[in-house]
Amino acid sequence: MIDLISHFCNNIFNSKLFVNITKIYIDNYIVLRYSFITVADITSNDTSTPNQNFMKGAFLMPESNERGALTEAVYYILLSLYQPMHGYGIMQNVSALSHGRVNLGPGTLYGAINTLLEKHLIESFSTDDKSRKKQYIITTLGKEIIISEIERLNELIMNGNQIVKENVE
Amino acid sequence: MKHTTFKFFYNYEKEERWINSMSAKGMALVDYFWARYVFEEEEPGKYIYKIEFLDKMGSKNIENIAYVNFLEDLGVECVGIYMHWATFRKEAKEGPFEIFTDLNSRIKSCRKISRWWLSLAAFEGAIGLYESILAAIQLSIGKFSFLSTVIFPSLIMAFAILFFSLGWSIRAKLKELIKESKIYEA
Repeated sequence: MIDLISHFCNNIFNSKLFVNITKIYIDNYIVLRYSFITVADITSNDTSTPNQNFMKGAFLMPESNERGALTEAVYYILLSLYQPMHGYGIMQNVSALSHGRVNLGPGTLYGAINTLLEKHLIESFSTDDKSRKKQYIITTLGKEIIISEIERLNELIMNGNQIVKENVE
Repeated sequence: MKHTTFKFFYNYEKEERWINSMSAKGMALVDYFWARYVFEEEEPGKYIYKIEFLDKMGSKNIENIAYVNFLEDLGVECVGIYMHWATFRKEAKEGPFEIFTDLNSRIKSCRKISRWWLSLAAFEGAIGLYESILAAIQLSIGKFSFLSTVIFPSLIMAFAILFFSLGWSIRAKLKELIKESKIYEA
């Protein structure tokens, strides 16, 4: 009986599905853990165990919509990488998208790409040709971040327009 | 034709300005080692030069090689890396050349340079302190040698103060950038 259970457990833990599910949960957890701070987090005196509600929020859907704004560079890099691109392509594309307003310096671009790779918002895109130029593409997690950022930006624009208009009339 | 000249800088921004002014006069920097600069005659203003502080030291470092390769793909050429300092150039016809274009990365780069000056100052300060204590012990047992009781400790302490004050301008710049980052995101 014990053998059977352990065999079963081994199968689950070794399965690709398990690994993928864990990866998604951990990814979500990392993103949410560092982008959501609720009042409960600040006021909670008990620091030894994580706040229950907070943990729930991290693993399920976000309860609060507060999160950090993306920098312009990161926002435009993520948008560019809906198509696979290498560094030079990203630089050109961002400049074109912003009509020449945002010009990414090589150091800024390099730093941003490495951070985004580390945080799994983008990944290397492998092609058959063995050129040195590395290509990148946005991940599902990156797309989620972009979508919620667009929501946030929409809110900013709506409120801004509304209040400015009210005060003009 | 190549020309070699020696010049000493303690402020990388002044150095950058000088290299760019030489470039405007038709002298393009092609090699650089400590205080030795090698220029080549070029059409005036062909290149824009930038100096950057790198995390790792030397041109053989694997991280630096990866970075230089990345920059080369973007049309940026590495003129030389000496210790932590790298000099890059890009052709002026390809547009303005800035290595860091947003607040985040500019703050990061300023912080690195400021920390580097502070760590040099702290290192010299620690040695100076050690030398001073040794000098005090020597004095207390009645030994006095002008060189080791006066010259060494004060010379090293002077270096500590020098390094600390050389980092002053970059610390002021960092402070301004951080203030700006409280208002602007990027």
